[in-house]
Amino acid sequence: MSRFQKFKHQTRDVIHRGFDRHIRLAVTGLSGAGKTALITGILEQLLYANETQQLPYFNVRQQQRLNGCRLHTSSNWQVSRFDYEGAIDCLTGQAPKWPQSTRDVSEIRVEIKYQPRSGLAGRVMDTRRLTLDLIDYPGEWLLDLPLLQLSYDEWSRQQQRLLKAELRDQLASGWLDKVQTAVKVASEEKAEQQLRELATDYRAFLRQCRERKLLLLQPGRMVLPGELEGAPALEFFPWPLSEPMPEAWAKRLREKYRYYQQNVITPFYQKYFKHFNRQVVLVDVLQALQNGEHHFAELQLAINELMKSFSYGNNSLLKRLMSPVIDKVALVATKADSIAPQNHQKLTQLLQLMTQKQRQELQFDQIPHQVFSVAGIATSQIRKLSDGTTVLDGINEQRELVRVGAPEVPNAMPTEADWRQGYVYPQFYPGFTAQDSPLPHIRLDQLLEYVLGDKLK
Amino acid sequence: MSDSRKLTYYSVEEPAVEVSDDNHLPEVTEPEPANVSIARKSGRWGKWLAVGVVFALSAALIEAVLMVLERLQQNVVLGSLWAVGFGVIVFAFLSFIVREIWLLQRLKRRWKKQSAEPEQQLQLLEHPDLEHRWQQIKQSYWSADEKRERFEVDILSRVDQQATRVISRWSAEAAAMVAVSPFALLDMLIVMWRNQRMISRIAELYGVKLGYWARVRLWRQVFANIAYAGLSEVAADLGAQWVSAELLTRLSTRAGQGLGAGLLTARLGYQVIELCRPMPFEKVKKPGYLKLQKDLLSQLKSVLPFVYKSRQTKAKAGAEQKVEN
Repeated sequence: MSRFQKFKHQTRDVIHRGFDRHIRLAVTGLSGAGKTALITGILEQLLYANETQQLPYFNVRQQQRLNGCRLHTSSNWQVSRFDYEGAIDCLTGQAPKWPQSTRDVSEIRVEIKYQPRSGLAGRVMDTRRLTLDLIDYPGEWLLDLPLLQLSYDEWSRQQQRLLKAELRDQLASGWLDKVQTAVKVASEEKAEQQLRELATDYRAFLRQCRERKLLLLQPGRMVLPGELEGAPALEFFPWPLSEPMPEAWAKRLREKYRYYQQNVITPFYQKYFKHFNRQVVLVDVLQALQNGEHHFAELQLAINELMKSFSYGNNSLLKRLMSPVIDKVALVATKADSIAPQNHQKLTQLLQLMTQKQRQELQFDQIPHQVFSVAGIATSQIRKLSDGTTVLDGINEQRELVRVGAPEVPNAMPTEADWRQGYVYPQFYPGFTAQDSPLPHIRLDQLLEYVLGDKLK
Repeated sequence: MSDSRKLTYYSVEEPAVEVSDDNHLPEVTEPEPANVSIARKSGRWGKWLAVGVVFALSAALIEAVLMVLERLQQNVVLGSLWAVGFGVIVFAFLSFIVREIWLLQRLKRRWKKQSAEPEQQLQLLEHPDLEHRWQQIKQSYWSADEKRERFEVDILSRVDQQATRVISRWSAEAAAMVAVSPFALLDMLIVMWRNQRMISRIAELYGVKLGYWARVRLWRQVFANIAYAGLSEVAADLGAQWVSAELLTRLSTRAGQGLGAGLLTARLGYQVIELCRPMPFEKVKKPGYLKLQKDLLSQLKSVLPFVYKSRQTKAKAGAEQKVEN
């Protein structure tokens, strides 16, 4: 019986996909960019769409053609369900907090039922359905994606360049010393043992980088191994030295790297990233500004690398991996609730500047794309003091109500003087109760309209 | 690093208002739309005439006062009656003038205000239900542009819809009346009267009250706009009329007259919408004529025994054409 049901589900999926009634939304973002919050926000707004006035830009709702949305079982039964209820409990519970950072892949499906208005469907059908799949996964793993297109030597060269950057060279110095001493005693018999030790050290180095909030950490499974904890598949590292690798090591490192590509990354993308047809790229611009120049540059590099793998040219490996291609991209600057509304425009501009190259490519390939500044769940209220200062009321880590003067956002790439001054943005925590549903958001309706609107006409 | 940026914290107790009404963007004063500003030169004669009128009026006033004083000396009762009568007349006259000036100013201000903040425009509209709706949907994080867009799409478009309904109703009525009226002079009177009523109704919907002079100004502007209509508009109209060209050959004379009057009325109505609307059409599509024709025809059908030429005459016309060929 259950096999029959599964078959039924999958057939329906194929039919929906064939009729373009199925959107698989790729919520792409590095760890900490706010993927979980955004997905929760989207679900919250969709499920309560008819009870709220918060979605003026979502046309299907505004024109009162939305019958409703509900959560549905996904046809991919091997993937755990996105814990929407858990996330809401976290946000509205006794001691509200942000949902924990994602440690594994999960998926959730929403079915949107609406009254079509245009086209043949508008004349023939009373109601229509659209299936929306949302997939949450650890952002760390996303950075494996660019590795698919790089050979071991190319990757090593890239990492060598990266290791010269400030902060990274400090953190890496210990590991580099170890590599240098180990090279001198490299031998065929002890190679396995030596590589394992160096890989463990490399992993420790990556973890340190992560603590210092660096972003471009590859391979992603070393930072967050998931089920691969302690597996020999992770016993490799990029070759950091300019001198050639010892013969005994080179063979093993390349082999492990290839194994990792073929047996860890490829299945991951084939399993989850297949059939994506819309993409939301989340970028936490404010956090990067606060962390300083190096982080900002690294974020830019990471997005660059990421979007290259998602690109739509002929050489894209992913296009071969998944036959449907992404036909619409939303670039989203998240956490817009920690700045004043007057600065949203600047934030959008800044993200536009950061992603200039990718946007040009998208433009060239005629992929529609747009830049937004959004907060999946808005945790601050905008107020104005009697002297005209705009302030943000929110809850801080100690769960006290604080009032912060709204910080400024640069609308051009920060200069050296700007970096010396640095940027700092408040970090608010959720303070909702169960009665606050649907939770407030910033500009999710515009994002939803952009991503789904053309399918809900 | 002494000058590094820091967050400033404020006391939570300090009174603060919820931000929703204002954005700190500098107010952009757009140039007045070209079609609204057709300046008129008042001639030399007008000035002399005004001076003459002022003199005559003041002479009349003095005369009246003197007369009242004289009467008062002769007979107190009669004199005070005269005084009261004159007083009432003068007061009424003055208040009329003040009201006219005020209403005209309001209309002019409306034409200038076409780029003002949505909140101000909302007040000018004088629709409490829409104000309530705006309170419901508006979000504190919106930028000025977003606010403008939402105001137009969610609020103004509703007024537009009402106005379009008014237009279609009144023009259909005008069409029907002209179609059944027996002679041409009556046609003209009917069209004037219907248009007059319709214009006041539409202006009222947009919160514009019309006094006598304001009405005159509006009419003048409407005609000026129709005369100076842009190329695109002419093209759009032509398009609509082309659609009906085929139709017109089939219409009976009466129905044709009615349809013409209806279309003219509608045209005036759309002009009035544009003049009274607090902002130009941006995200909302301008109301068009296509649906209107259908309304007009159905209305005509209900009052006329035959809207289309009888089949015979048409067949005859067709035969004649063939012969010519």
